[in-house]
Amino acid sequence: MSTHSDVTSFAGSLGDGRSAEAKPVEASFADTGLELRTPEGSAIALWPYALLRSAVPLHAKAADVLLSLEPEGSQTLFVADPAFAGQLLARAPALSALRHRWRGLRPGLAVTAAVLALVLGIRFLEVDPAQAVARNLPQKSREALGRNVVTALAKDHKACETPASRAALDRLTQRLTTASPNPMQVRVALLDWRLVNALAVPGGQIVLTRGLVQAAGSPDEVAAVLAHELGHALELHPETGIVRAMGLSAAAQLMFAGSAGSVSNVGLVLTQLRYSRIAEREADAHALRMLKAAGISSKGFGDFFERLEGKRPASDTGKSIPGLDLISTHPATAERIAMVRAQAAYPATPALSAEDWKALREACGPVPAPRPADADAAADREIAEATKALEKNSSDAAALQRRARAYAKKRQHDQAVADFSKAIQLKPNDATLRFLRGQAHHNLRRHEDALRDYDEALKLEPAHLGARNGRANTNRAMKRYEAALTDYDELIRYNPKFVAGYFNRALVQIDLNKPDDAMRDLNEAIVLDKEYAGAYAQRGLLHEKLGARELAIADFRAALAAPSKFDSTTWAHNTARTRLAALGVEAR
Amino acid sequence: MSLAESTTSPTRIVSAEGSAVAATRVMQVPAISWVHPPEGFLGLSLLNGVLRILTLGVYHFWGKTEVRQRIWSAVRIDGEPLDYRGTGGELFRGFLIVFFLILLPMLAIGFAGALLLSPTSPARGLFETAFYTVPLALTGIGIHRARRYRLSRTRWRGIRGGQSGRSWRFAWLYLWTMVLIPITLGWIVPWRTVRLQKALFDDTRFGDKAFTFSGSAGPLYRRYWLVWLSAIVLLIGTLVAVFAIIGLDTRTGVPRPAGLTGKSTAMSVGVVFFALFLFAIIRAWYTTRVLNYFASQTQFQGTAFTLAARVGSFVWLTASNYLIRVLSLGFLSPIAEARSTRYIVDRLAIDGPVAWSEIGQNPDALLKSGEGLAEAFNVDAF
Repeated sequence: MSTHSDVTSFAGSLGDGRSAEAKPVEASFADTGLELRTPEGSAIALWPYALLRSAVPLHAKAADVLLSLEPEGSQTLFVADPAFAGQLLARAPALSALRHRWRGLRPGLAVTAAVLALVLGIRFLEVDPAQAVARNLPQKSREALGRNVVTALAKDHKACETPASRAALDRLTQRLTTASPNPMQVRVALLDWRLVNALAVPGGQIVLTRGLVQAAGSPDEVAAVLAHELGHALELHPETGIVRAMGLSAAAQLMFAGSAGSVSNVGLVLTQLRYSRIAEREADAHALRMLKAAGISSKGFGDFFERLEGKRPASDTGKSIPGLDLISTHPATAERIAMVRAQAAYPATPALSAEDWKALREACGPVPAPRPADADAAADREIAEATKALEKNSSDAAALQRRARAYAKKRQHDQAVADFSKAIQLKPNDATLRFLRGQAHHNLRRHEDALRDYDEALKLEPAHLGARNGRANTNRAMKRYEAALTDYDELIRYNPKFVAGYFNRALVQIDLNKPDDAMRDLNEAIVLDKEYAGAYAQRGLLHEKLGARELAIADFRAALAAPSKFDSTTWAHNTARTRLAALGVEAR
Repeated sequence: MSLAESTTSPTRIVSAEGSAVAATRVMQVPAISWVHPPEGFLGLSLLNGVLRILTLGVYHFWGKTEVRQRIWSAVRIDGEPLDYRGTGGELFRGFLIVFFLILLPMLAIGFAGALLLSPTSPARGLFETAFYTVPLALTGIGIHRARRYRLSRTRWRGIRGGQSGRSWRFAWLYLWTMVLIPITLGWIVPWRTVRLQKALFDDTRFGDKAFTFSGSAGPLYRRYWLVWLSAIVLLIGTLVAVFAIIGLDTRTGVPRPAGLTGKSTAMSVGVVFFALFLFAIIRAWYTTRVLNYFASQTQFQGTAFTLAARVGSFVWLTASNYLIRVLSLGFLSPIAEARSTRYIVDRLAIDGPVAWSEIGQNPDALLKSGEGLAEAFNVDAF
């Protein structure tokens, strides 16, 4: 810094913008601008304060300052003097960092305000841009969208369809949609998927899962879920969901300058969740209306929600499909159940006939037996009820019998024996009670006691099939094959249609290594009942042992296809599956 | 005015007359230095983060601009700072153009293709190939245009830098050499690096004068072979070591689950980190060679540059910058950017004198908007 008589001046270097050469200058502050002179004192230029631009937003304590002259900006002045910045800022405050940042902030604040106004506007006016776009999608592209979703799902889960199940599903869909004010074209598919789920996909396609149909307690429940999904389809929720997902992710990209991260994803999910709750409510309203118009009780709706709340499969959440969170139905809430329960009653008939219901439930193969936990729960209920009855009247033989059978179901045979014994004291001439206690003894492997009970029962009622069959089974367990055979022969003579008799006799023949006799009995059992899984499986084993591979495979397949009818079914299904795998063939 | 008074630069000698028509001029080798701004970069980083959140991300472009202004002005040539003249508005405009003309249509096409084409159809495969090739091709354009924007917004003594040449030509070179990387098992990498560097630097200008780059790939291969070999050796070695620690089931040849104890897991992780560390050092040994060699092969007005990057300092810079970025969730990346620039500037020198008076203004027209493509595809030209 050098000082002239009255004005402070600063040494600097001046670039003229024509070459990279610099000239030394003296800069001083005049009223209207920065005065530049040569070191010798001759004037070069006056730079008005309003046209100055600083290379960096200026702080008063900056060690040096690089200025240029706007608008062209090619001429530069560099002053490396710590006192210069403060004095310059006093005359040209627009160069300060604060002013500079405020100018940069204004566009951002304007955008924020615009976005806020837009969001609030959408909320208050209740317009839904995504839905408007979805409504204008051509039907063809909607269907293509839906087809791809179904194709993606069907890769892992095959579609189940028998002519009877197709007809049943069509009849139900027809019944629900013709009652709708604006009839629509829908296709309903049933997938072999354990997950309890139903979803509407774009283009009027609805997917139901085997898990759902088999978990439902009645056709009315399936009708209610289908009506709910039809409601989604009617409102174009699947299409709207996809359009919204696109729009929101585009907005997130815009907001985060093309590098939208996980923070914005959380926001997206939350936004979509809000919309999906509204959609669920709309679909529920449609479903209730459709059910009423079709004359199907809405009770099934509530039943199904409660069933879902009671036993939601926690492990099997299924594969998530991008964009479909919104389409799948959400967990039932107390609010939804309450809304359904509040419906006034109206005349209704079952949603499907008994045959149609069976066809639908078995479209993916036989329905598995209820899980032991469920059976145990049912037995517990029976025990509790019978105990209550016995508290009122301790000599209620029927209640004792019910409770004993429930204990037996829970494999608590000791308690069963105790209750049966009390009942027998009350009704000493009841053959069935003796037979049942015999079974309990048999299951406890007290074979002698079992035989005594069976003998007594047969003395009281010589034609008691159960007791004779039981005595034969116990004798077989004790390897008294001749005694067992005598009873089975007797049994079949009494009642030639008693299939279990043939099956059981075949087991003795196998024990005695008489495959031909066993084969004859198994054939007979199968002639009498074409769905005898145990007989098929046993015959398959026999065929396999005799080297008839193809016949064995056919029998194992037949065993797998047969429904649950007898105690031996679980054993039969498991055996058939294992043997088929061992034979290196697929179940079907 | 005497030499002693020239506070702007201790190494510069100006003519005693100080007039435009100097008779004799003493040319001195220009000095390149870093003058750390007294405000540093921490406060600015945090302020930008806050303002960015407040404005739904829009301030990003203005914040980025102020960071660049501060970094540029810390770089001094002969004591005078570089001047960054870009604006937040330009960057924002560039981003909006790319967003609406490229990102949004790509998003829509991507959605439509994924939803409308059957997952199993051959059209879907074709569509996906095209869908992933387009961003790769655009990356080259983005690198070139971003560099052109930045150079055109960089001035020293009012004289603009510049990048000439066509972006699509560079993008094409970038794309086809990239396709060759997997085909040549990575052996093309040094050759490609030289080609790309030459394509960029032969077209780089300061004022009306061009830079020239005369490097070849040979000197790089003298170090690259070790990078290539060590990658394979370290990979196999690490696998063998980890399997030896965990133990293999001799029958099936897979690691025994029983071998996974707390101690063996810790040892395995240790081995992996050690291998990564070794590789980072070998990699830095190569990269510093590339940087130093490139500087020596870059010429401006007949004089070359010398860069003295060393392996140790380079590893430290890379690792510490990585930690700064990750641990601060990106909020402190201006600090990392400044450190990277400073690393080069502190070690860079110009070999010979430059006649500043012979360099005139860059006549190129200015781009109107900023580096949208580079922003969108997360590339940054060096």
